[in-house]
Parts: sequence; structure tokens; C-alpha cells
Amino acid sequence: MGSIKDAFHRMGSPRFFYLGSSLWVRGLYVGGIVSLVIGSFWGLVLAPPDKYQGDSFRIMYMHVPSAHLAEMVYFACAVAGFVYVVWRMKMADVFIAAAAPVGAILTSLSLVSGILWGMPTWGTGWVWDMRTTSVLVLLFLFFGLIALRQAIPRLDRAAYSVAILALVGVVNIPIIKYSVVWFTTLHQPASITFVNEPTIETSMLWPLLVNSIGLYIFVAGVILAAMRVEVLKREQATEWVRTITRSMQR
Amino acid sequence: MGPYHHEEYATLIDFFTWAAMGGHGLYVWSVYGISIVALVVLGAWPLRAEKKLLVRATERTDLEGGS
Repeated sequence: MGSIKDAFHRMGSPRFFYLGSSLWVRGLYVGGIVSLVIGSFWGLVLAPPDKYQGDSFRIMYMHVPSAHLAEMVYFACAVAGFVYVVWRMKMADVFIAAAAPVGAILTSLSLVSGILWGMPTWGTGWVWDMRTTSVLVLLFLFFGLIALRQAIPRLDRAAYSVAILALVGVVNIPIIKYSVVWFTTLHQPASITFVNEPTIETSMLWPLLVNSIGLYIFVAGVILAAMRVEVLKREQATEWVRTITRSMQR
Repeated sequence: MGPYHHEEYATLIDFFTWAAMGGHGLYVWSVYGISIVALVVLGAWPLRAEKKLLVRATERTDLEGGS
């Protein structure tokens, strides 16, 4: 228990994080890509077509993981925001700075794939219902996190403001999740829940799980890599970064 | 280029049938194409940025060492 606590405290140090995360990034990239290739092949080639949607349901294998992950990235930003507001931990702000652009790209991907899935199945790419609108709000929240940081020159003030925005915006996450239950919407309800049996056929469910795990692992690697960039930007004048660059010259 | 055998034609037709995705190929392949581009950009961007930052830091260390 003590060693876990020590490791957590050490991860709060930018130097320790930078030196210790290199192998993790490579491992997560490779693991994520392998899992995504297997999941996509399974979903595109081996899974049977859907009884009602035909082959267009295969869009699900990119749409669902990207949408779910976008929400999780925002939730993680809110947790990091809480950690920053309470303990002023620098690495929590580094996490938000690194994760916000990644979250924005994932949200865009889920919106675009949703539009392209809606065209053949709903007969329209976009409707202003609660699910699509709340996901669009999520995209604007990610843009807000990025823009607010750039608008405030002082690093500590920018970090505090961004942390507060991340915390306030988290109210949108349950709205996205329950929008298909609370409101009338074209969007189908969740096929996989913690309490009920999945309403999706097992042969279609497995590739979805493999692709989801793959995207989670890959995005974890991307956020770690982006955090390393953020750490380098902030610490470039410190002695430990100079030591690294000196060792690169040799 | 010799003439195709019957089995090769059948394989080719199977491939095109699969790629057409029952008439939804445009939507399905667009999503996968956009996703691949997005994931490649996501994955490559921090690695390139880190490399650039390290090169710049090395140049700065060089300059300070020379002055």
C-alpha cells in the first residue's frame, strides 16, 4: 500500500513522470493498434450483418467506442480539475492540457460517424434531439478548455480557470448518458448496461468490446505522449531537461 | 496476364460484394477512412512535437555551451 502511495506521489513529479512514461507510451500504442486491427477485422469481415440495418451497423465499431471514450476523457478532465483545485497538483493540469485536444478529436469523430450512420438508418444525418445536442455541447466544452487556457497568459490562473470549467462542464456527462431515457429521441437506447443482459447479439458484441478496449489503450498512450510534450514545454529551462539533452548530444 | 480462372472471378466478386456493404459502403468506408486519419494524426502529433522540443532544447544547450 505504501509503495502504491509512493508511486502516486512520485508521478506528481514532472521529472519522474517524463522519465518513467516512455516505455508505457510505446506499449500502449502497440497494444492499442493490435487490438484495433483485430476488432475492426472482426467487425467488418466476420460479424454477420444486422437484421434491420444491414451492413451499415458496422459503423458502430468506431462510433460507439469514440463516443464513450470522449465522455470518459471529459470525466477524467473533471477529476483532474478537482485534484488541481484541491491539491494544486501540477500534473493534474498537465493532464487536462494534454487530454482536451484528444477529447475534442474523439467527440468530432463520434459526431461525424453518427451523422454518417444516421443518413442510411434515420434518413437524416442530424436531428436537434437531446443526445446529438448534448454531444455537440461536449465538443464545445473541449474547445472551451483549450481556448480558455490560451486566453489567460499566467499559467497558474489559466490552470485554475480550466479546472473550474472542467468541473462545471461535467454536469453534461449524465445528460448525454441518460438523454435517450429522459427524452424522446431518434437515437437508440444503450445496448450494453451494467444491470441488464446486453441486447446485442454476442457475435456482434465481441468485436465491439475488442475495438473499445483497443481505442481505450491507444488513447491512453496518446494522452501519456501528449503529457510528455506538455511537461517538456513547461520544464525546458530546468536542469533535468538539460541533462537529457546533454545525454542526447553524446 | 493470363485469363482469370473461375475461382478467381468468384473471389473477386465476393470481395466487391463485401466492399459494397449491401449498398452502405460509402457510409461505412467513409467512417473507417476518417477514423484512420484521425487516429494517425492523434498518434503522430505528440511524438513529432516531443522530437521537435528535444531538438530545440539540444540546440539551446549547444548555444549556451558555445557562448
